[in-house]
Amino acid sequence: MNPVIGRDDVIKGEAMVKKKRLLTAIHSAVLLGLSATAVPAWAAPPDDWQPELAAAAKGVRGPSDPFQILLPRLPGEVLGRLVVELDDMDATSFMTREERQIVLTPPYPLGWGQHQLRLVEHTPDGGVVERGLWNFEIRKTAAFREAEGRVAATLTGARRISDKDLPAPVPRRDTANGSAQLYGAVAEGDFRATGQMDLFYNSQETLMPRGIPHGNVDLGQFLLTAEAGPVVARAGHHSVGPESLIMQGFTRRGVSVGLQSAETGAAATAFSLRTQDVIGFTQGFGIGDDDNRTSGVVLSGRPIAPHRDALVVSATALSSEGPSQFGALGTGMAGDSTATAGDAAGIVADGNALDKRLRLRGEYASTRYDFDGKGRDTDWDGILDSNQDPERDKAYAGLVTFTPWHDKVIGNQPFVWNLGVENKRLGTFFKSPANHFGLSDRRLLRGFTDVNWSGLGIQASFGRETDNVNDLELLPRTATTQGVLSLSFTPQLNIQPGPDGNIPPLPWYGQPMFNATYIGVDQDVEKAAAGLTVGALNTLTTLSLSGAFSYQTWSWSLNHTLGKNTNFINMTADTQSRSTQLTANFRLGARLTVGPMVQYNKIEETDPPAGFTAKDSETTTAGLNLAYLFSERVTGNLGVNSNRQKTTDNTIDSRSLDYTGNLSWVVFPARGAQPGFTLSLEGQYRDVDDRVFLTNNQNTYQVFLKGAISWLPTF
Amino acid sequence: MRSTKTSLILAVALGVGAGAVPSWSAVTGVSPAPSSAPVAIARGGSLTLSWSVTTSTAGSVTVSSARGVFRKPDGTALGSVAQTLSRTITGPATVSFTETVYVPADVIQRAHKEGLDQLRYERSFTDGAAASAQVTLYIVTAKAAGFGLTNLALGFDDDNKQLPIVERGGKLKARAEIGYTGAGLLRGRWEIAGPNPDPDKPAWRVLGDVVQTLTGAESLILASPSLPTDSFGPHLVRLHVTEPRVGFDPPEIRYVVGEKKR
Repeated sequence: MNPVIGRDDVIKGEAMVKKKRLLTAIHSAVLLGLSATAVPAWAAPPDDWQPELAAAAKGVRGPSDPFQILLPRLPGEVLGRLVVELDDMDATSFMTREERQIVLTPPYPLGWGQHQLRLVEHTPDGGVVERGLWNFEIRKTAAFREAEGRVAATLTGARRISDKDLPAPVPRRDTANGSAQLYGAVAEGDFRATGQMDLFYNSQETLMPRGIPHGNVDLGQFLLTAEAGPVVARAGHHSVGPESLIMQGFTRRGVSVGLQSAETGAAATAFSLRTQDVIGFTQGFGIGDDDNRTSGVVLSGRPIAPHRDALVVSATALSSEGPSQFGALGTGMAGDSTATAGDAAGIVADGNALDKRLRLRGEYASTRYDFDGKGRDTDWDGILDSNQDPERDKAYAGLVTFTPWHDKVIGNQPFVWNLGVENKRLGTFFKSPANHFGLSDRRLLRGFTDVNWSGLGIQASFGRETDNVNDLELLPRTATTQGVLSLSFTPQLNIQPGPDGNIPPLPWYGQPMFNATYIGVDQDVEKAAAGLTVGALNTLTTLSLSGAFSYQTWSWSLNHTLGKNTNFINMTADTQSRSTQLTANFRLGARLTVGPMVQYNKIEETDPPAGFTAKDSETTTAGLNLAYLFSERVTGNLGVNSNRQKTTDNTIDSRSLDYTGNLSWVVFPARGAQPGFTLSLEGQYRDVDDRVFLTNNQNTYQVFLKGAISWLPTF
Repeated sequence: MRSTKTSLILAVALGVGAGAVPSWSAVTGVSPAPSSAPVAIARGGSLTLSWSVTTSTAGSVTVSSARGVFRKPDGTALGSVAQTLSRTITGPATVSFTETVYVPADVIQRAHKEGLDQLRYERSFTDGAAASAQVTLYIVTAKAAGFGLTNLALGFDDDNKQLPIVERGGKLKARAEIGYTGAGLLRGRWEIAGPNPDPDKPAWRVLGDVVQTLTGAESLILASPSLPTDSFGPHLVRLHVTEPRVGFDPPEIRYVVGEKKR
């Protein structure tokens, strides 16, 4: 058994070797009557010779700059015993030895910041002598350790060279569009600043994210970040703090400033974000509008000092005004456009125990939500004539999960079992402006478990929830039970390399993966109210079966889903749905990739509400994607999309067929500051046959010749 | 209002009673379907209604309604929807209008705070003389409400980024987050237009259908099929929801294919 030698031991050992060799040298010199000034040119150097690291040629050392280590005149055998270590890794094979110097070329560009270079000599007697040790910094400039800029820009010009029967008004023949991603970073000491932004151009203003009249150049998302020691400041699109009942998915334009302690894990962040999401050159950093702002603070800490991971506590408080469920044009958010207002506060504690086998999470939150903000104009005379008081409510959520074993093995296969229970109570009027999809009005108790063993997975859950949590006299109460059972099986194929070392092909069925999932929901009215009597309300069942099969160069999968929804109060039609989807992906040779897909859905309606007619509908959607690599620079793509929709009440009866294709030639690839140029021939063919809305019918094509200039410089 | 007054004056002048509106100049009947519907407290949501309007006017006539009004049972206005329904027909005839109206949460809340368990949605149709009808909206919990969408947010990939610039040949999927009331079957399809979409009439092609049972969890995240990235330029993406119908303008999002970074 080899003794374990620590780094301190090595340093002490090296020091002793150095001292011994120095004494030996002095002793020998005295015996021989030699003085230091009388060493002949050919003689061996003193045992304590020291190398010198030459200064960087440009004043600062860059990531790939070679290192020049100056040596005294050394015998060849000594040169052969020298080893150079870069950041504790042996880099000797990347250095060249000469009589009076060693030149080391870094095997890879070194990262910005501190590094270490070490030169050691392995003596014939097995000792190790450290000849030189240098700490140095990789820097961009004398002023900044790190200064970097990157641009990825593409400007495309397109001319429609052929077309047929395009719908009026016919689009412009010549168009141009472009995009640019900008990134920059500077750092010095413990300060670091980064910035990134996306810019867009389109000669057709209508196709710009915000449309007319916002110009042909606009801004996408951007983010500026500055860090100085424990302080972090951000401006632009970002989210703040951990997900919670009061703040979830709340990525908005705004500013935040945080303070964090690496030592204790405590952090505090103050933020001010625009309530309504926005893009483009408008609203600056998003905090200038008092009526459209969400501001607050997030605090977090790890209070158990010896075990920082054992408990994380975070608290959030915020105040908001503005339309939180409705984004500005181009943001992809739509819903209630009412300008609301509100305050929310919450605390989350997430901890674990029993060697992380037990997890406990608890959350409490309260909200004060003003459904009409500054008020509503009820009689459309342009004057706000009604203003409600805000509603206050609260919520809590608890979660316990338990893993009985971490390393359980059954039959030589790992056995993983988790189980848990969650309990929630969300008030009827619990609503936070910073969680626009947040849930409310439910009292839930749910248990769940999952087991994984030898490719077999079982997940099951059962829960019951009721609403009208605040027990409001005028409202009904429903009770919902939901059960979920999911079984999956991935057979573990025992494929061993043959005697020749090659892995044998997969069996004819490839590597399969099966899944069956059942979801059953039963909903009843427990307390009657206007329009609802006690009794059954809805039942919904879904059964999904799927199989996926993977091979070395291709794969396919089949999914079939059956659904049945019954509404017992004739509010919506009862439905039975069947959905089947087949997808595949083939790589044929080294050049051709083929991806077909077909999807068939049939929905049958019965028992429609009064005034509506039941109808059955069928949709068939098929797609095919082909990609061919003619050469490294020439590629071809073809896409086919077909859709057929029909309902039995003849309100829908349409077919569509679309072909899209392109042939692209990278004439000059973009490399660094050198722009690239790509020439493309693109075509689109469209055939729509709508037998109900005849004005939708189309049989058109258009062909474009495109030239794209790309520029990918780094600075 | 002025037209109604004029019609009444004419009717009185001609000695015609209100129950016998002359066949030459009046909307004689409006009936909604359904006549009542449950709406969710604290949530609002979309509601699809069908109005059958009968006019006795002969010849070409335009039947229209400028707005719908939410009212308390006593007739006090709570809010309105400035959404015009209009159609020119050859009368006398009965014409149908289907609208999907968004019932704002604050309107429902206002009625509830006044101790009401219901409100009305009223439309007045006119072809010169007006008649109106109302749908009773019962205030219930979100789970007991009619199946309808409350909000829809589209983005890209897991981080829900907007307006991404994706490398040519890169992987990209859209995602939709859907808020809803009630329970039922969501039907729709993921559609794409582009590259070089027609700015006025994008040619939407279907990438995949969506058939999903919404079980009362009140929010859902859907992922689109993989989006094409083989051609430079902007592409438009949307989730075209066909059932239930939505009472707000459905959003479109866009991505741009740029050069691959080397």
